[in-house]
Amino acid sequence: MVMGAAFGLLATLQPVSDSDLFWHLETGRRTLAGDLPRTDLFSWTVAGTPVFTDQWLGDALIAAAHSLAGWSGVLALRAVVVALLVGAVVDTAMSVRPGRPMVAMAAALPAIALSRFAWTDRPELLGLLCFAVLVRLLRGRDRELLLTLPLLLVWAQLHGSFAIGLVLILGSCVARALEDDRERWRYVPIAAFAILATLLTPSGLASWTSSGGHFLAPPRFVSEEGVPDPRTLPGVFFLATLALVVATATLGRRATLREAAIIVPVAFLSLTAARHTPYLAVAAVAFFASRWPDPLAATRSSAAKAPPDRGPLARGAVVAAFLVLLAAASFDERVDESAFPRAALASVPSGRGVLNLYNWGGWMIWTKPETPVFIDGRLFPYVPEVFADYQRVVSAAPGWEDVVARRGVTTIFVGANDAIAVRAPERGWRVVYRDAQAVVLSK
Amino acid sequence: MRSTTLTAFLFAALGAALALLQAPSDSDMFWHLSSGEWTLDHGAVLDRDIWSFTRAGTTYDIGAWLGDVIMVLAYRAGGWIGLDVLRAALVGVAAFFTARITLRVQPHAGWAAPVVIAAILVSRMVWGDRPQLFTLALFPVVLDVLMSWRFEDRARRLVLLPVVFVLWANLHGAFAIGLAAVAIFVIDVLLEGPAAKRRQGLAVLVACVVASQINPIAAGAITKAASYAAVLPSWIVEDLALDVLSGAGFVFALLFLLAIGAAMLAGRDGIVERLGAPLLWPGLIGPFSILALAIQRETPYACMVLAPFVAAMIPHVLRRRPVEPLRVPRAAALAVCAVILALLGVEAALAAPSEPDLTTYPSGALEPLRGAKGNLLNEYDWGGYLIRYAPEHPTFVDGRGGAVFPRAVVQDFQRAAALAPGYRDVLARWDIGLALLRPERPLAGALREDGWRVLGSGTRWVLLARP
Repeated sequence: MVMGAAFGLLATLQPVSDSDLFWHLETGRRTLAGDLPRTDLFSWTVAGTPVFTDQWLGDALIAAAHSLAGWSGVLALRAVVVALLVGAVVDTAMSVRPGRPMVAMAAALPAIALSRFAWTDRPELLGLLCFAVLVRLLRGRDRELLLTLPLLLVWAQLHGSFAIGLVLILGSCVARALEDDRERWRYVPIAAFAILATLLTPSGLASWTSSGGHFLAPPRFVSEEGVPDPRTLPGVFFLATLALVVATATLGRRATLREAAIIVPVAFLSLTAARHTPYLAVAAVAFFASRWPDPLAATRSSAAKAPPDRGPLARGAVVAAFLVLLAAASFDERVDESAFPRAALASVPSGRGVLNLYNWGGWMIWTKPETPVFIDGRLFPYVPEVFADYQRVVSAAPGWEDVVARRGVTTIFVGANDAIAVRAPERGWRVVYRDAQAVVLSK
Repeated sequence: MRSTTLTAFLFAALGAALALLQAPSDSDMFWHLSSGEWTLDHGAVLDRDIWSFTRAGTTYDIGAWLGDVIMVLAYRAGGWIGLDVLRAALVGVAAFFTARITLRVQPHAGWAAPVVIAAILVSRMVWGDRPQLFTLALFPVVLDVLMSWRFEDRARRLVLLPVVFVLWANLHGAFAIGLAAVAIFVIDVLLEGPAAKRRQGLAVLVACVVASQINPIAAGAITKAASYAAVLPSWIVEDLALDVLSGAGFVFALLFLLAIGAAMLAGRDGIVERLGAPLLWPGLIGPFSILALAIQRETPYACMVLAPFVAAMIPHVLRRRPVEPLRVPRAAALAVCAVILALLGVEAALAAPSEPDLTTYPSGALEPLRGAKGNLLNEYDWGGYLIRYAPEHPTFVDGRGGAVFPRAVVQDFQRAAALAPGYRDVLARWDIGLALLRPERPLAGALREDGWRVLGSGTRWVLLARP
């Protein structure tokens, strides 16, 4: 509890800034108003085409937090989710190694460190929380396995990462069935209900398409969808975690099939994209905690254990509550817009015809709704044609002027260092606005 | 003869047969050949740039002078087929020793075959005709010697290692991964082995390190290898992090996950029971797997380390009993080997490509280039080809990469090619009069629009001259 609250407090130190938050907010706002967007409402390139609704509940929660308390509400939601996430991780470690807090903390550290890079204001963070809870439940008995079904049902409404939850539940069912000679068939209905739970969403079977597409063909140009990169700090943390998994597996005691059924598939998932790396660290918490040596073991007395003291629970709750209040009091209700060209926005005209930078699309949806975007962080409605055209124009690749003519682009709103920002003025485009960050060009 | 030796030879033949069918085409092959020719013709190692105009006269060392010379000798002996045969021989050696170290711990060919074949297929990513083929061959040789010492107490074979490293340090700069493997085995023995073995290990480690100093830049070779790993160039695809959703990456991921799964289900006790040396396996698997994930061209070596572990531990976890290797009559085995070698010879004569595959190179640009004047801005991947086939036009940048070109030069190329701010300054500063680029490059389109003359073009290239 204390650890969760402490990290929840730390999470509030980071201002609101994620580029995708804004379209999530707008989507959630409309959802709360009873109008779940099933077709595109924000762009002029794919207007009216069907869009995924696989994160509707996550969007609604974020929007609800914002409507209740503005950006403070969004921060509070982040703090609570991070607190619950870290709490779940530490609890998993402590449950495996009760009375060994040092070992439990050491085992939880990789998960906390790696998950730090996912402490963003997006449904993805909610998905990670669900994953941490799932991992905790999968270590339990059949009763806890049953609890994963309602968890999965909720998860499937929150974020597309539910797919890994489904894989782990199915894997756990198979592992338990193999271990249980007598009643292995009782896991069949559990597996069936797990599959059904993921279909009970507004998207139905289409929700599998979104998750599957992300997994099998991650858009590598998006940095978080790139391969884990050792040139980055998260990449270093991830490789260190992987090394710990190898060391623990080869030097620790034998694992059960259930443990392997969790670690191995998650290890593969984590290798596929940078954004997936926290999952391995979270999945490995119990594995680490159950096998790492206790450096204080030699100093522990072999005398009979003292009766359980309920004092620490109460003290922990007090500390946690204090930290939560401190977090609430310290909320800095500001949005870090340094990554977004606020000053240039006034020069961007209303109406269709604006080709904007991908990373600014979500922010524009929120801050300048009267200007439909060319593209934004939702990505999948735009692949492949719109995205290909976008890349051609922004990179000023041969044929970019044909794309501009075909699409009817009248204004280009991109970064000051983008190739098109250099080339378009040389081809007669008027520079309406320019600063170190952004440029607005008009035909 | 042990059946495992014959089986290893069969895998070697498989690898060699596959390698023989590949046409020479590696972008760096051309400048390696030119370097080797210069060394042979001048009787000295080429140590300064004579092929670019951006770094003309700068001293450098690729760390592969002997590899370049051997490539040239093979080329002079048999043309492109000579290179095919050299490649096949080195791939065959790599496959043989990879199979040998796997069969050493898993004599059952049914369990060994999938992982050995997987390792051979992954190794295809480094079958380019370059000195790195020597690293591909020598790494499993070193592993085999070390494993025979560690598990079969064959200490006498250790004397081979310093000899290997003297050669390796002059063949290719990646000898450092071999030293890393030696160090890992020695650390394992220091922690768990008897005193005699510890002394042997320390002695061989020191001898290998000393042996690897016997090269034109002495101790600088190890420093260079370490700095290469520490500062990875972000513009060279083979030095980027591994994508496990690619072909070779997926196979590596499969081996890696099988290893983790087997290790988990067996635990330390199971590994000791089946393989022994409980510290050695994490010592090998961890670092080399991480190296592969960080630098994709190192993936084959990780697979060579994973193969024996997976082949032994998967059946152990499935509770299959280990088998002992069979013995086959030596005469019969040698006869089989002779037949296979003969078949490989026939394949080399009939099916090995006698010309390089130049489809990805701007061959059509050579003619118009001959009469053109001016500093040439060229694609990085074509630099080696131009060194060999258009030496009258020094390159802007080429595959000698970070050994010759500092980051600033590469950034200038990238800035110009991508129309980044300041691209015109780059063209002016280097007085670029010619540009040989891929047609889809933004710069190619911009120069055409700005009136640069098209001296020639193809589906994959365009040659432009300043008006």
